[in-house]
Amino acid sequence: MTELFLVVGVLAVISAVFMLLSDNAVHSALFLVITMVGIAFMFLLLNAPFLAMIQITVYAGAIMVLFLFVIMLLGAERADVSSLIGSDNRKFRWYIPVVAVAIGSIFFIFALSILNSGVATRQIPADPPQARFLHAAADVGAVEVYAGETLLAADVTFGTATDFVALPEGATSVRIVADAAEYVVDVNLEADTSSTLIAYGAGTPQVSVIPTDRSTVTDQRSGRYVVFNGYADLEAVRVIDIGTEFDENDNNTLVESLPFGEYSAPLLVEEETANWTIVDANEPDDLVTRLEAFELERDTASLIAVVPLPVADGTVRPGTVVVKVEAAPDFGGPRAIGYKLFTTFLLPFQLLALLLLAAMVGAIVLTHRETSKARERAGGRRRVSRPLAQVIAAQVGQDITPDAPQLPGGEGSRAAGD
Amino acid sequence: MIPTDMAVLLSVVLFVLGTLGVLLKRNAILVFMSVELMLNATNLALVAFAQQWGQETGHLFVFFIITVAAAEVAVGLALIVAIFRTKKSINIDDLHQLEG
Repeated sequence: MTELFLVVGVLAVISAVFMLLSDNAVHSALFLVITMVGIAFMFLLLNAPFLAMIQITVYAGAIMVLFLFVIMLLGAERADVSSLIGSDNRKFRWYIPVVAVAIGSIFFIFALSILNSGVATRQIPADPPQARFLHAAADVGAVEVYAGETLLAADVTFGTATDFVALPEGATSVRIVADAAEYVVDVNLEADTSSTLIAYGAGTPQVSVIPTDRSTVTDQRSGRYVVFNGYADLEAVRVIDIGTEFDENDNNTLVESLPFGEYSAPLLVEEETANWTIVDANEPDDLVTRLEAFELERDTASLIAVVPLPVADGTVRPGTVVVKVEAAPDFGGPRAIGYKLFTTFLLPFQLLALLLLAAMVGAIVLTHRETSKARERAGGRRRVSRPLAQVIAAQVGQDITPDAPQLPGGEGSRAAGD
Repeated sequence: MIPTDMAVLLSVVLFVLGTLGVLLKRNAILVFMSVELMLNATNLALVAFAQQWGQETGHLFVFFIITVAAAEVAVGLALIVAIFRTKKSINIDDLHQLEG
């Protein structure tokens, strides 16, 4: 990678130097295209694929074509009578060595400060731990969740999860306050991680901490799924992808045996509409619950909790609670850029659109004057044709204008009277 | 992964070359092209720092700079064309009515 960087970097610098030294403006523009493409390549190496493509289309494509177009339109290829070296017949310009020395010394100051800054060895500061609360305890009504003394979320009902919130690093006491009761659980959160606090179980709820990986899903078209067993009546459960109902042979065990209170390793599955069943791991014929026509989505991180669900008559039956969250988008990819563009940078984006509009109008206005002048000139030429018609009439010896209205459609009268 | 300081060093080299072009070239179009080179050099530094800190804000800035540069080129080249029509020259030594 570093060799590639060196080769492309040297190429970009050399073509930039040739751009300055070339006497022909067209050659300069073409050398600048090479530099632009080199910089686009650098963007690729620096994890910015979207910007690399933008660089190629906008700079190497649109802008440079505009430059070449104007150079050729004006015939300005040789307009730079003095090259950078000054080897022309005009007077020696004293400021060239001065400028060169000044800029060169600025360059050395910059280069030394960059090499001594140690920027490449600096570490990214750790993010505070993120956590959310998932209410999956059937017998408990709406709850309030506190971390320490601060309220994280109020009125969390069964089957819903709060948003992720930043919590202090280290040990935190999380209090879950229901109508009458209060449950306290001590959790220990590490920096740069995301966790789900899940309350589950019939009767008095238990609380577990499930690490939730929200990082970019690198597998193509895949989502990340974690299964949690919160169903106390069985020792362990098994998760099976039964595929289509009609084909008995494509059963695919996703999780072999998941004991009560445990969570599975993340399953990476491609997006599709799936049929999953959850069975007793010891008695595979005993169905616990099913996930029918279950939409597996790409670029998401989901948690499937197998918990007792309340039924209308006050009893419970096993069921699932699924919470889904978007995985972090690809760094430097179009999804990440678009997300930021339409959230944090929406106002600058709008202003930019206005600026482009203004630039378009400006460019039209700047070049419009000549066009209107040309139209005036054309109109003027038409005006001199009227005396010409009279001249012809005089030479022919008769006035041709009275005859004109006899022409079909009256075309002649308008042409003559114009 | 490219070391950030190397990428920033390359960006400084390109920026300096662009500055030299702006100060020493006499053809208005070439001065303009040198300005574009300087803008590109800053873009490169921004992308390098964005990768260093794992933050996409640098990418957004580059996106905005590229767009503004496109607008600037459209207006600037229209200006150059307009000046060429009146003065019959785009040598910046001939364009000094303001006597700056």
